[in-house]
Amino acid sequence: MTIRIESSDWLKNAAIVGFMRILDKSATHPHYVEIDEEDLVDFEQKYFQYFRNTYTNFTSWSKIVEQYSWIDLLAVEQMTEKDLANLNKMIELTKKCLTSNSYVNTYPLIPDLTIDIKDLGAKLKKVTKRKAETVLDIQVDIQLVRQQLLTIIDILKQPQVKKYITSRNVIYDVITHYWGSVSFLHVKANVKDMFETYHDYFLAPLHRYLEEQKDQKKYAKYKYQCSTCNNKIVSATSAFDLTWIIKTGVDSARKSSHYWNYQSDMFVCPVCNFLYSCVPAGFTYFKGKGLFVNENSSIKTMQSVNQVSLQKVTNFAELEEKSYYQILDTLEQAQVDKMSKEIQNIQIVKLDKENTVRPYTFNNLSKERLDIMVKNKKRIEKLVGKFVKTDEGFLNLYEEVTSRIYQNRNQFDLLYKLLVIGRKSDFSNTHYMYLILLISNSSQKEGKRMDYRKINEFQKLGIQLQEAYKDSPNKLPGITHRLLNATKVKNEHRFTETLLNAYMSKGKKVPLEFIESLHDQSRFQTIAYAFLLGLQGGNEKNKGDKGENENE
Amino acid sequence: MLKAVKLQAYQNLVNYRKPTSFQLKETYPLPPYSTIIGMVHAACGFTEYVPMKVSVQGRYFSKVNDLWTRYEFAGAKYEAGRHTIKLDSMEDGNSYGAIRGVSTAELLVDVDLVIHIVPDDPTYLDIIEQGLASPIEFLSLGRREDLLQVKKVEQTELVAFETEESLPIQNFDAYIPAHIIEDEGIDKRSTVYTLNKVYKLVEVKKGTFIRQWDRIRVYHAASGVVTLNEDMDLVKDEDEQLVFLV
Repeated sequence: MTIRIESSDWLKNAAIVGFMRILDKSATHPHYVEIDEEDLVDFEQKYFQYFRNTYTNFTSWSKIVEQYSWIDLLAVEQMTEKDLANLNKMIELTKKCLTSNSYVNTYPLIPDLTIDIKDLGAKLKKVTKRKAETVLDIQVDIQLVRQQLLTIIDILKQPQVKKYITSRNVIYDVITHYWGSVSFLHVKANVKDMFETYHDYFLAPLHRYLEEQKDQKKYAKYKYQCSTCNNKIVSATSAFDLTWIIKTGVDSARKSSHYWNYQSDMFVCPVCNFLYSCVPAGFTYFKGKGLFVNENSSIKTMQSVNQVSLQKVTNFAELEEKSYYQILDTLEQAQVDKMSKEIQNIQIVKLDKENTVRPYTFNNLSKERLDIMVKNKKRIEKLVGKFVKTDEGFLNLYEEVTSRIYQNRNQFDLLYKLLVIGRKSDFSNTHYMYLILLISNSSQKEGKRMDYRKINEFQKLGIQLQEAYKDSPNKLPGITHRLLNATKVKNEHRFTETLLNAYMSKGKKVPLEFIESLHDQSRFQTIAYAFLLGLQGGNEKNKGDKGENENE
Repeated sequence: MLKAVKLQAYQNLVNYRKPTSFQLKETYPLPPYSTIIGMVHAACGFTEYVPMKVSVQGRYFSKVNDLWTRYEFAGAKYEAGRHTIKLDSMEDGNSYGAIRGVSTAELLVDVDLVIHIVPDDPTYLDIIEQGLASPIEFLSLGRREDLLQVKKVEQTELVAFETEESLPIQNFDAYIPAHIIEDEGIDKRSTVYTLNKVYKLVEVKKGTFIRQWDRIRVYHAASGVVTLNEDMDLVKDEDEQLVFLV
């Protein structure tokens, strides 16, 4: 007996992708997947196995265990103060984890465990060294604690211990951000076996339901319909709802105004209920943030678009960027050109666990925006991990630039901000501003766009003027300030006026290019910022960016 | 000969909500059948379901996200920590609570629609045409505030025909019922939706009714992408416009 599940909205789609990932299968039909009863055998094991395989490296278990060789190879005689501090940090972490509720509640579940791990953790003590003492004076203490740690890690590494502890880890590290309050995340379930509770809550009703379905005659008489698929349900009491999925469903008791006639009709069948438990597997999760790309032209594309490797990723921006390029790689340039509206508007769903009120945000990625991303791939890549200090904190250049692209805004306000910051502080990394200017230019509409060589030219003019003012450096900030303000408010007259003054007081000829180009309103800001970059910026070379990927 | 009321209309910013979306109100790319049937009934003042078939086609320029103010309540007594708004009742002296918050809706921009309506009973044709041309109240399709700008309402004759060669979907995207094209191997690059059409009330517990929907699986066939195969039995109107009745 198989059950067909059709693709639908993003939540269901994330669930389908998650389900297929857990089974390590790929879809054969573009619009539906089929659950075979065989797939459900030991599904609770496969479920946790998937999360363990994907996220073990990020768990506290792993943080303890990966220290093994360091501790093992530690030569006590040659230990430095730093080593000692590290060792103490390690002791603190291990102790904290081993005696934490989530660990302690898990020990009794581990089959054939005879050792009291909590006790081992509690006995761990930091090594203290008095001022007069050397490392050698306390080497006995160090050896002891080292032996304790190695023993603990050996125990943690035992297959059953590892399996249970890391399963518990992924529940609180990953799964709990997507759903809660039922099954192993029920308030009272924290001491229960997670495999059993998963089976009891999700799989057992599903099996019962599948049995019921076999009796076609009886099934045909079922009165109610699942609200997210076409399955029938025998009674309202045997149905589930979606309130357990964090911040997507609504509380049908306290917020019934969402429903027709103030009565929830969001009944969900056991199949869908089970499926929604796979949502966390559909997302790619990294340090508190999750990402799902709802490219729903077919399930197969959706699967491959979301296939982003967590290896070598160091921050979420990188992961996000990888995903976007994954979309492009999957679709191929030829297809991007031919894409219809429906496929153009690819929904990108982001989860942020810090945002408890509205954890999910949605972006639409259109063909135009994808195009800008493709053309500026290398430039955008260079901005990853670049931060600028401001009065309020740090600006993440990559995020600032890409979010402007997705929101269809230009980059000028960012350039303005950076130039202002550059005047006040030592941030004068002209190269990144130059990159942003190029990105901004290439996302302009046809006709407003400029040749990158022109931009370089204007930047050079700025540098030349800066050099002319070398003997009177105090004047430059005033000029830049006025030019910057004129640029921000698109006041060409004021800009030209200041410019004329600046050149004339040095007895220099105003370059002809200016007079020609400033007539062109649409390009004014690009030109002005290019010039300001040169005027204010350092003399560093623009490292070989010759308008690469520029298809204009 | 089958006749239909053909409605051509425009909407500026509109949301045809997917029923399962609460946090972000997602929108279908074209209005679902139930929304249109509801509007026709409101326009004509029908108080009972008048069985009808509907064909939906249209196009939109782009999709944007916008914020809206959300009010949530269940007629519960006011509790200071839970509710943000206190509503004092003049009637029973109690205070009731509601929550005001911000939420996001997906909106379609510049939607052009071509809708065909075929009532099972042809005597209703004139009533529906009349109703749409001069409705009891302003017409809205989608949310209450999504006004419908009617460009043209007319009756048109429908003709059955068979495609001689492959036929590309042009000008307007269309909902094509799955049964028409399933196994016919059209271009698979179209999204499938299961749309509501008509509901029956069912009693979930004594005195409490919910709506249970008849659902229809459709392909959202985008213009310029999907091509229909030859030898298919289809329907078109007097202006050679394809019609996919459900």
